[in-house]
Amino acid sequence: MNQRQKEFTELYEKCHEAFLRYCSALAYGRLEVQDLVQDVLLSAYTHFDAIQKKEDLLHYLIRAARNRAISIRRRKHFQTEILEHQKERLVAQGLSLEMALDVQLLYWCLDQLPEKQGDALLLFEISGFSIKEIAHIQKSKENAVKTRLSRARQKLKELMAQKPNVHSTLGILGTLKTITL
Amino acid sequence: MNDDKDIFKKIRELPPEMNIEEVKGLITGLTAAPLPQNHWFPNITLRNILMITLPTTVVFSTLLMLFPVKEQEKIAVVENPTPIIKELVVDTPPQNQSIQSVTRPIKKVEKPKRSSIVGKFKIDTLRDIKRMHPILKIPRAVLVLDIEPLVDHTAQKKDSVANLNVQIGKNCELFQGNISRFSMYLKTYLLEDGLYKLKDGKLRISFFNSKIVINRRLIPEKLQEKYAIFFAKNQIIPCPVFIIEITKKYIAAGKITLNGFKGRVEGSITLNDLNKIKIEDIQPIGTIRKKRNVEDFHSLVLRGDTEVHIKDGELPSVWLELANIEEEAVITSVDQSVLTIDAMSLGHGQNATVRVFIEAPIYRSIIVEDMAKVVSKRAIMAEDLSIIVRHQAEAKLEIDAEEVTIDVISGDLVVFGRAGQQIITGRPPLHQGSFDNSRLKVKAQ
Repeated sequence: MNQRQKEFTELYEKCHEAFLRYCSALAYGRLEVQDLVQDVLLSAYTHFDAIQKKEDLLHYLIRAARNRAISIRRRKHFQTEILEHQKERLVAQGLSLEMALDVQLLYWCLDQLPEKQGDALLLFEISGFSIKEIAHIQKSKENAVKTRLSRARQKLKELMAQKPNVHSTLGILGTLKTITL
Repeated sequence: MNDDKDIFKKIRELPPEMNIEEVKGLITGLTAAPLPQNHWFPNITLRNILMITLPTTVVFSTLLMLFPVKEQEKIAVVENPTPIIKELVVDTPPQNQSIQSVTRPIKKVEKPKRSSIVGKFKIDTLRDIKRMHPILKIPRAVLVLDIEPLVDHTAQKKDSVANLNVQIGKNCELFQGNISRFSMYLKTYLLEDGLYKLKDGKLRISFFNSKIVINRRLIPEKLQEKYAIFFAKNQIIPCPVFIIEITKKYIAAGKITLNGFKGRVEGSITLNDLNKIKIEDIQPIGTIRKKRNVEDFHSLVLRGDTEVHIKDGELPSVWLELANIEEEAVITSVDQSVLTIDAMSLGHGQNATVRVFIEAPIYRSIIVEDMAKVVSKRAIMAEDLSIIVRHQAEAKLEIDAEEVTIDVISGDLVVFGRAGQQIITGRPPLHQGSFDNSRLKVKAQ
């Protein structure tokens, strides 16, 4: 590992968890998390010298991951194989099957939200960013982020309540998979 | 179903899908990794090409359909080797081709073929025109027209032209020279002399009393000789019905006949425009005054459609004031001290007027005939004066004479002033009043 890689690794260690959780949410159902993380890290490492504020590497990684996810979302729909694989991993990590299905449903509902609203909610609830940091990442004002979060939560509740068919379908699939296992 | 807050909490509690060691392994292997997928080259796909080309094609096709390219824009513009001509359009110039005795060439002129248009010249300055000599040697297609009338000419026009043709039409030959060369030189001279400006557009040259008229205005006397020589060199005989019309679109040289325009045309023109030109349209605007040199006279014979003003003067003199009529149309001759003024033999247009101003030291006889009118503003001094009024003539005279003989055969006469003795003869006239120091009105029955 050369000096550049060492410097990059040291900076990355500080933002590992938040970045991974964000990537997990973005990649859910469409591509493997490892693929997304690898693409983003490669991009960040290639442009590492161009990043002026090295301490803002996490923001750079988040933005790069989001842009990459957006381009993937435009090309790919939910893939059953990836969904099943990720559900198995959730179950393997100690979640009940019902919770794993709820997590899948939550990710599906987050995907239905407007882009910035879903992104803000994801960053706040899953990655654990503060509102100030989200405002910095989204290049918005804090009040705007608060509004987005509020609207996102409201819509998320509506979606979670209005999609029993999807929930049941995913549940049936999960149940069947469990029986098979 | 769990609440979304619980789900978020569970997700946060989950360990990351990749631990830090795995990521470090990725970072270690980054040096050998290929370029990221956002390189520009892989993004060029058939889909992208179609997305760009199809809308572009549709947009351009729509624009071409809505705004088609005009025919004139398709004509190739050939740059002239000389810097004088800014724009020269050449379309299959027929070399030395002369079409003569063309029957019914009206359609050709109404819609002239591009092949008949040899050159379009755009001249910037006067200096440029002077350099035109080599260009003028370009062979040109010349269309000689023997035009049948397109419009119904009025009888008035026939009257106005007919007599002129009888008198001088025989000498009015068609222009035989190089019409373009002639027009270029003429424009040059006129520009130099300030008689023509490029912004004027149309240039119409005609002759009036052998004098050159530009756009219905006589050019100054001092320049008449210069242009007379120029026209003579170009074998143009000053002719009252000859006309040269030069515009940006065409050059026409010919004469106005009973059947319309007859001559040569180069360029694109609607023949109706040429055929509509009347003889009045080429004559100078306004009136001209000219003095006639005559011998001594004491008697007058006034004929024709003239208005004569007579008064006493020390020396005999005759001044003509003409409007819309040739000077030759008024004859002034003296025979045995009798001045005859006749403007009837040459018919002229409706707007033509002839006014004659006569001065003489003494008057012995005044004969007024035809449609002539004679007026005296002051008393005519005479010893023995004879006044004869015939036809439809009119006379209004103030007289101071010893003896006056009045013979009114027809027409009207008003005489007043002083007369020592008055003799009224002729057919039974209608007398009103007396003549001595009062008005005498004589009207023939």
